[in-house]
Formats: sequence, structure tokens, C-alpha cells
Amino acid sequence: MNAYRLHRRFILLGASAAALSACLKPRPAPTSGRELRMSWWGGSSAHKATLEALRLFEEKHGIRVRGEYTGFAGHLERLTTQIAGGTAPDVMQINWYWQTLFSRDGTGFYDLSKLRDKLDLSQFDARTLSMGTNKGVLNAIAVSNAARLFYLNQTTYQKAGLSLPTTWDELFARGPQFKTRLGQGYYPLDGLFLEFIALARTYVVQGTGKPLINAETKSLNCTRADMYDFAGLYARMTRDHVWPSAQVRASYGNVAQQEMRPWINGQFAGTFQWNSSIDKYSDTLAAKQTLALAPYLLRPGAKDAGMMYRPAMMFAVNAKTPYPDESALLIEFLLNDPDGIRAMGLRRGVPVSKAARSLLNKEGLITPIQQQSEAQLAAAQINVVESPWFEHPRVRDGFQDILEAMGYGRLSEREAGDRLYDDINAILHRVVR
Amino acid sequence: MYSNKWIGSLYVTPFVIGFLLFTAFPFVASFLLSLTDARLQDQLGAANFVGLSNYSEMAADSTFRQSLGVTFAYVFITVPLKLAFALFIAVVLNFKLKGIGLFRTAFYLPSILGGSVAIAVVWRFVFAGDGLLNQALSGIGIGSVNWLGEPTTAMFSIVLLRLWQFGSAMVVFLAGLKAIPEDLYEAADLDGASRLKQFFLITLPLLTPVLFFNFIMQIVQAFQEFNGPYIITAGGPLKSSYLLPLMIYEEAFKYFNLGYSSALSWVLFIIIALFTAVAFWSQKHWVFYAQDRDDKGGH
Repeated sequence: MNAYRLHRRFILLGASAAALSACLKPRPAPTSGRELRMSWWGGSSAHKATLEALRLFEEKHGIRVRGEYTGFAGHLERLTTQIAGGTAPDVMQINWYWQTLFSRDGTGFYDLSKLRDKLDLSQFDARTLSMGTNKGVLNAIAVSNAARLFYLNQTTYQKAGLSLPTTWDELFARGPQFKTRLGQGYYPLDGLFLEFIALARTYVVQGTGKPLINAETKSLNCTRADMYDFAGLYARMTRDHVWPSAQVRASYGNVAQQEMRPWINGQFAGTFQWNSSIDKYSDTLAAKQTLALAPYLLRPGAKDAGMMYRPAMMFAVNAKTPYPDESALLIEFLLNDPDGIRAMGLRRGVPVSKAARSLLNKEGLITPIQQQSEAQLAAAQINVVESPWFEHPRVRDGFQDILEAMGYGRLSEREAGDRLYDDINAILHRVVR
Repeated sequence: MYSNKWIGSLYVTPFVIGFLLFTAFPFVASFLLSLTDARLQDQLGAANFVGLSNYSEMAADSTFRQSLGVTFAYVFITVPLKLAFALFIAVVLNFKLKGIGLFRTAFYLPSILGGSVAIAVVWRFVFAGDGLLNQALSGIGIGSVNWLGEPTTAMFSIVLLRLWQFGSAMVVFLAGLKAIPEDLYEAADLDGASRLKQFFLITLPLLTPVLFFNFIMQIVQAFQEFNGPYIITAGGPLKSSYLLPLMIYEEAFKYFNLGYSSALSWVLFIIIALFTAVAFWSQKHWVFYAQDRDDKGGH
């Protein structure tokens, strides 16, 4: 009786195992017990594309890769905890300014130049490589570049009978025109404080021709008068109905710009946004609303375009990975291999790799708005490279707190300018290391 | 054969291990971290001992002072309002009416949903400038209110989210009301005491142990409020809803100041402990236990 039960149990177990294995997709046998871990952030389409690319990589190289992916919110916290705890993945997608957090001296990530026999660095220009280099060590390689450009809702502008602005003065004039022709709830440009700070930085840098922050001196790279301009721009744009006031924006609560009803229905008719993520903004627009790339605005006699132009995201390798060659092979596949390029598509913006650009161009996969953005970037005079410390949360919040206080009438324009100059210098002195 | 003693120990082992790993160890570790300049992105070995400087730094930190003030305001507004509202509903639901069970369930529902992320998102949608509440107000001819865009009303929206979750306190009050002997009310009726008088002279004194329990629980929860301000207002505008737990989170995970953040969390812990201690100390003056009554009767 016992033998019969045992026998039956084995049959059941065997049948279950067979059924389970039949359900699983056959995977290529790895060439060894190696299993890489790769982490990234993104939306569902980026996750899907990356997982497909990893599957192709496994098929081609016989190395398994475990994907660890999240949305952008919380990703840095997770990665930071992993790096601090010594459990970071072998390959990591990082933000450009995270290099200041993890590898100020160049030792926080693996030196990719030592892996050039596996990773074709000739596909990347000198500027791209320099953006991932810290103290002479190549820590990260850019996947795509991003710049903040003006994207405006063409449908709303047409509804108002107005053309897209070509100069700052035209933009300033659009505010009252929108109010008169469309109503109180319509604005020609919108964004979080984060976007306004980037916009005002562009405005100031066009005047100075220098980065806003000097990391060497741990201070602002401009005069007090420039900070009066910074504050004055916010005061003018909110007063003249060019940009929604602090109270109007706050009335929607803590919500992403592209998820706000006025954005969706075209009342907030523009954004100063990264070209790499503009699809996310156009995707949420209501039917028949069209987003267009507007001319890049320049101050008269501008010394530089003042563009925020930097890698949109980068790939880095864990400094302590036991598999540096395999990690390099994976990055090579994702950035330079035709199969990887096709699988990734434009999910991480227009790639910087020459091989990827050439292939995507040839196959007509770059969308018209992205082609226009690329052309605008190519035509722009971009000599100024902003310090990554501009994106430090403490610096950003410093700008925001002062602008918000001015927006709520707690500071005059002049006081806000003074506070910007004094407080941001104090913050920079404290955080830049 | 195991002795009863060992079997008992075996049963409590999972809890003890869980407690040591997930409560006691982080508790002690956070205190040690609060004495260092540890940063989240660095190895812990790189942290330097800084003594009490994280604590002294708070005195000069205007954001901390503001956050502390906002937190106290939030607690002092929320806790009494929530207790009063929960008690009121409990008294109403204590009436012997047909279908009262259905009402009790309905009033408890918000507490099951709780202060979750999903509810906070809904709350943001309700109170937004173009949200449901303003649409309803406009519908009846009252103008829109900028609930989330003005410092005072933003705080009000967060407070209301907490008040909405009155169900658990209400259930405890209801249990307390059920335990009050009916004969006391009958005697009061015979003496001609009005309902209001009965409430203040019978119900409320006999409910004080339950009130005390609810008070402690609500104080502890209110000081730890996070989801509401984080999701609805991000602490704004002008940091008017920047509660201390939100500041602790941002110091650790936005600015990476693990040492300072740990010190802040210890200050919050001490504040909660002080309030709880004062409440326990004061109970002899206002909490009436049945045991006290029996003892006094015996003497």
C-alpha cells in the first residue's frame, strides 16, 4: 500500500514537472553559470523593449541577464541602497548627475576604457565620452542625449490665432494674448518649478555665456544682477499670464505635468521639456491636440544657446562586478549591435551611438518630431556645459523655495534676487564636494 | 520530550527573531547613525562620529523649525477633531434602529480603505482646483476654493483625509458604549436627567478609558502621518504641509543625509514618547476605571 502511494506520488511529481517545463519558454543554455544583473528605470514600453533586448542577448551570447526595473520615482533610492550595501547590479542605468553622488573620484564605477576590446568606444564622439569621465576614468557611457526644448501645443495656438513664438519678447506677448482670446485658464507655457528653473537658467546663461554654477569655486558663476534677472523673469512671466502662478499650479496638488487636466486638454499649451521624454507628454494629450517643436528662443546678442544639453541616461558597470567582460558585452549589444538597437528602438531617446543612429535612420524609425529636435540641436550654438551640481536636489529646492516665496508674495522681486544669490551660494558651498 | 517551557520558547521564537531583526536592530542602528555624518550613497565605514552635532544643527535649521510647527498644528487639530467626530458617530450608531448594522459597516468602510496611496491620489483629485469638490461647489453656485494652492486650506485638506478615517476609533468607542450598564441611564431617566446631562455625567466619564486608549493611538498615528502630504501636496505650498515624517524621508532619500535624518527620527520618537508619557501621567486626573469605582465602593 505504502509502495503504491509512493509510486503514485512520483508519477504526480513527474507529471507536474513535465507540465511546468512545457509552460516555460525554452531558454538557451548559458555558456557557464554566469548570470548578470541589470537595473534600469522607465515606463512600461521601455521595460518591454529592454526585456526583449535582454532575451536576444541571452540567445546570442548564452549569458543570462536578470532585469531589475522600476519607474523613475524611487529608483535612485533603491540603487543608492544597493551600492551602499554592496549589492548593486553588474550593469546599471544611471542619470548623468548621479556620477557626482557615486563616483566623484572616478572609482565608483568600473573603468570602461579597460573594456574597449569588448565595447566599441569608437561609436561615441569625444564629447559624449567626456560626459561620462570623472578624474580621467570613463565611468559611464551615454545611451542618448537630451536637451530642454520648447514644445508647444499647436492646436491651442491655432485656436488663439497665434503663431508659435520665435523670440522671448514674442513669448512674453503671448501671455496677455492667450488671456484675452482664450480665457483666464489658458497659458502659452507651463511646467513645474523644476522646468521654470531650467528655463530661467537658460535665459541667464544666454546673457552670461557661462555655466550657471562653477563647481571649482563652489559658487554661482554669475553676478547678483543676473539673479535679479532670474527672479524678475519669474515675476514677469507669472504676472503677464505667460506661466501659471504658483497658486494656480499648486491648486492641482503634487501631480506630473503631463497628467494634469489643463495639459491634457491643451489649456496649458507648452512645456520646456527634455527632447528624450517628449513622447510621454504628447501621448497624454487629448485627441486632435498636436504638440510641435517651437523655435529655440534666444536673447538679442546671446553669447550661447544656454541649452541644458547632457546625456539623458547612461550605462555604467559596477566597480566590483565579477563579470566586467560580460557586462561590457551586454552594453555593446544594447548600444551597438543591430539586434539590440532594433529591440531598444527609441525607448531611451535617439541613441548617441553612431551605429544605432545610422541603423534607425536607415530604417526610418526616428519620428518627425525627434528628427526636428535633432536638427535644432545640431544648429544650436552650445559651448556651455552646465555643472551637474545644478541638478542636485538641494540646489534645485533652494531655487524653488525662493521662487515660491516670491510667487506667494512673501518676498519682493529684489529680495528674491538677493536670496537667490546668497542662499544658492551658501548651498553650493555646503553640498559641492 | 520537551518541557512546556521549551515549547513555549519555540513558539515565540519567530516573533523574537522578527522583533530583533526588524525592530530592535533598526532602532539601535538609527540612534548610532544619528551620531554620525553617514550619507546614504557612501559605505557605512566612511561615516564619521560627530557626536550630538546633528541634534544641535536642528536648532539652526529653519526648515526643521517650520516642519515641527506644522506637525504640532496638524496633530493638535486632527486628534481632537477626529476623536470628537468618531465619538459623535459612535453615539449615533449606538441607537437601537432598524438596519443599524448596515450603517455601522458603511461608516467603517473608509478606515478599511485607510490612508493608502490610492486613497491619497483620489483625495488629490477631489481637492484639486478642477476637482470634484470644486465642481460640486460651482454646481450649487458657490465659487471654487483653491484647496491645495493656499497654505491654510492645503493643511485643511490633509487634516480631512485623516478625519475621514475615523472608523477604527469609532468602533472602539462603540464597544465602550455597549459596555455601559443600561441601569445607569434608567436611574438617570427616573431622576429626570436630560439626554445631554446623561451624556456628560454618565457616558463620557465611563468612556474615559476608551477615550484615553483612542487618544494615545491617534496621537501616535498623527505624528507619523506621511502618505497624505507626500502624495497630495508634497509638503507645499510654502511647506505648509511639510510634516516631520516627510522631512525625515526627504533628508534620507532625497538629500542622502542619513545621519541627520536618523537624528530627526529620534527627535520625533522622543516627542511621541513625551506626549504618551504625559498622557499616562495625566490619566489619574481624568480617566475613570471600573476598578477604581469598585475599590472606592469597597472602602
